[in-house]
Order: sequence, then C-alpha cells, then structure tokens
Amino acid sequence: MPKAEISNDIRRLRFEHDEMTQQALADQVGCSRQTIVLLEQGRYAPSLALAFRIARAFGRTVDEVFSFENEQDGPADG
Amino acid sequence: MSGSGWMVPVLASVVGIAIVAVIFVARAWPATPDLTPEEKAEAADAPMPPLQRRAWWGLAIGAGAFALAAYLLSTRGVMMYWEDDPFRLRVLGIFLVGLLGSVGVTNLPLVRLEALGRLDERDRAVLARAPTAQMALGLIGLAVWLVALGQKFHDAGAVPMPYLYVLFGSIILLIMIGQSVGIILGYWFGGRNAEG
Repeated sequence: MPKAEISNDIRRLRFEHDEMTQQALADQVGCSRQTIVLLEQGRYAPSLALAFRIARAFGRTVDEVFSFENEQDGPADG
Repeated sequence: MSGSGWMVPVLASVVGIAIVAVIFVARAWPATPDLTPEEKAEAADAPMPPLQRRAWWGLAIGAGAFALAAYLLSTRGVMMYWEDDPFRLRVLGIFLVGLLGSVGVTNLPLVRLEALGRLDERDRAVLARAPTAQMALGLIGLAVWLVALGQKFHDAGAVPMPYLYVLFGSIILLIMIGQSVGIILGYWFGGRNAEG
C-alpha cells in the first residue's frame, strides 16, 4: 500500500479566526496544545472525531480543513 | 563454565541486542518535516503532557532501583541474597520502592487525569502502544538471563535457587520500566496517528 499523509490548514485557519492561539483551539476541541502543534507540523494524523471537532471549531467541513495525500496518486482535493 | 568465561556470551548477547535495538530505532525514526524557526519555537514552548512527565518520573524511579539492586547484587554476589538476611531485605526494599514508585507515579494517576480530561486521544494512543516496549524489555531480560544462567551453571547442571528470585524480580521491574519507556518512545516518535 502506498504511503499516505494527511495534511491540514489548521495554522492558516487559526490566524483567520482572530489569531486564535493553539491553546484556545486545544481547549475548544479537547486535546493538548502539543497535539495541535504536531497536527500543524504534519507530524500527527488525528482520529476522525478530532478532525470533525477541529473543523467544527472553524465552522468548516472536514475536507476543507484536512486533505489526503497519496504518494502514488498525488494530492487529493480536500 | 569455570571462571568468568560465562561472561563472554552474556556480553555478546547484550551487545547483539543493543545493535538490533539501534537498527530498529533508526528504521522507525520518523521523517521530521522541515520546520520554520517559529514552528520549532512553538514545539519547544508547548508544555509536556502530564502522562509524558509522569513516565519520565516512573523511568527514573524504576531504572534507579534496577541499577542500585544490580550494583549491590553484582558486588556482593547473588548467593548473598539468600545467606545474608539484612542484605536480602535491603535488595527487596529497593525492588519494592522501584516497583511501587513506578506504578505510583505512572499508573495510579491515570484515573484522575482521565477524570479531569487531561488525557487526549494522542495520550491514549501512546498509552495503548506502551505494552509493546514492556514485552520487548521483558523478553530481552529473559534472553539475557537464559544465556547467562545456561553458561554459568552448565557444568553444575542446576541453577541455585537465589538466582531464580533475582531473575523474577528483575523481569518484573523491567516490565514496569518498559511501560515508562514505551510511553516516552511513543511521544518521542510523535505518536504518528490516532489509529495506531
């Protein structure tokens, strides 16, 4: 199976939402700030539930925040 | 096997296990993305999760007790564990401090951390994977004991009983240390994803 990565726009969306801090987002979605840091750096792929909570915090859908990239197929729309 | 000749295969097995462990860690090392200075500062600034902090304490207590007990047994001899009552009680005390201390700082507070909502999905994923390190350390410990006892007592044809007590104690302590090691490695590797 080809390697797959999940990337996201959390960092950009935070700044678009009144420069929301990582801690504020972490508190809102129920995770640690370290998890948000790793998510923004692309070093952690969240569960579906956390992905939904993050998307909801920004008033977006999951595929507006996260995108699935596949080494074989190239980036998918998301 | 007479003299210290039995030490050679034991040391060889320890070195072999260390080489395998280094190769494993090198292969499993996650590709770290290029981070901007700002991202690096953010990562360094983020507080350590409570579970990770407690695992470091658990490792310090467990490994400290293991090292102290190993030092005492290697300098005074394992047979003294049976023959010298104060010495046995001292080693047993160190073992219990290591075991209960490690459980006390790592495992017991988990219920409270969960109730306070201070464990997130990444913490739970790291915790769920920790038994892999526990099993690995336990198996490595047993393998070293197997080689050591086989070589040292081959000619005698039997293992003196005190060695079995020390063997069981060391494996129990290693398995407890393994939990802390598994948690620390889990955070170190970044906890790549929530699903395992």
